[in-house]
Amino acid sequence: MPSLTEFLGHIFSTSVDVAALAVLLVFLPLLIVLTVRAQGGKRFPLRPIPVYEKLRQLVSYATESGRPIHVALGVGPLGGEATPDVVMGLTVFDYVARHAAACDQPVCGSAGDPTLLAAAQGLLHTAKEEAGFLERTPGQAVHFYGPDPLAYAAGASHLLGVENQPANVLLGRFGAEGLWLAEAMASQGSAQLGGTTDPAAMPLLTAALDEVVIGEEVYAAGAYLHRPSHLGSLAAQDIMRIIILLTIVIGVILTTWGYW
Amino acid sequence: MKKVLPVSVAILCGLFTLVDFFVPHPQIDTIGAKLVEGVTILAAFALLLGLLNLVSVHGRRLATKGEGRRGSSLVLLVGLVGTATIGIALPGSQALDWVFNYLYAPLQGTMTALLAFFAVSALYRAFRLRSVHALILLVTSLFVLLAQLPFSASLSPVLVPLRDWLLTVPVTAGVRGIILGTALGTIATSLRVLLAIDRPYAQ
Repeated sequence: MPSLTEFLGHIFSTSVDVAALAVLLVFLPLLIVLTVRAQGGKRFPLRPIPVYEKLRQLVSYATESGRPIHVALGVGPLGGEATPDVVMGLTVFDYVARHAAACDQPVCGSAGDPTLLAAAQGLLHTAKEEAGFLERTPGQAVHFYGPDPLAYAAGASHLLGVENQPANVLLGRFGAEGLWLAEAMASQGSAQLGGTTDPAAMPLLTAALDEVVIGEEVYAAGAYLHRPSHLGSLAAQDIMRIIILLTIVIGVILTTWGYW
Repeated sequence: MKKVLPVSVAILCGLFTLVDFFVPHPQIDTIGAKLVEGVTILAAFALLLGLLNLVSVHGRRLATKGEGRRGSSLVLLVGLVGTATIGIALPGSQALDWVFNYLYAPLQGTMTALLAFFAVSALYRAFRLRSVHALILLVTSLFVLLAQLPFSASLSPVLVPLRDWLLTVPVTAGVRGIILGTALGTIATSLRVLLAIDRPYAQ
């Protein structure tokens, strides 16, 4: 008698496809339903994440002081495997840009990939347009330094301090070059916040930054800052986590008893 | 219309690529491959935009009197124009190899080597005993460093098994938890982009 894995293997090309499809079929309806509820005003409880709390304070301070917060978006392209990471970097940049635009204050961003440059300039343009200062959209607020990680880090660290930023945020796709940037920030004496999902870069950034988000906390930026619709996907993630936990426990029991 | 069209195109292309992942069909595979090829072409145009931004920022800086960073902007523009000229005029030539082997590679090597000093500096700050977490980090790091030494087994028979247990049980468990959470976050963010809840391409 064929095992369950072999049986499913006859239907789909690989067991990876089966797992991916199963996750998708559960996750997608959950995400849609909970996002609709979040957009309808339903509030889901959130535990405090210090990075986002501090970012709110620093954005208010930067707006009052007229000094721009620097958002480093990293070197991952939009459209590749780094897309979820860089979308979160852009979400934070959007938050900072909207607050600065509301008071016609400057913003500062750096990108290591040209697709990020275009997206960040678009967000800045929208923020200025919505604030009624479209004619004052700065053409050079977002700096591009080339897609090579170390070249980007060298260029962006050169940018630090020039505009006397009160804070620097590293959120996007960063590897070891994030350490270079974080150290340049530390030497400027400004607040350093950020995070990464790259397991190899996590210890480096954890050691180098004042406040850090790791792993999935990176993807919670929108929900914590200014996009209530993201609360729905955050709640969907939590339900999926419980389902995965139960599946692991059941899998362990079945494997131990020889049923799998 | 200005926003509806790009959003509709993005949703359709995204869904098609997703279907292509699950359904092994020759025609769907061909169209999926064309879509992925389109991404590469668009990225090349974006690179042109980045190039213009780079030239504009540093050209303006170079033209501004009293600007303290004119020197580095000049080096950047000379490097950019020089490398591009050699690459276009003499593709695959020894001159281009020389630029990569004797300018680009040594600069990369130097910058990578500097990371070691940055790591030490960052760890020095991280190891300051400001909290219980910092103390745990310090003690664990020192223990693993000690246990990694070639003669650590001669110091105590417990060191090596304890190090192996530390790396294979608590560290692996923690990393797996982080990876699972990251995977869930990645799926959620990707689905938000696919369903146009997040629209970084349509601003």
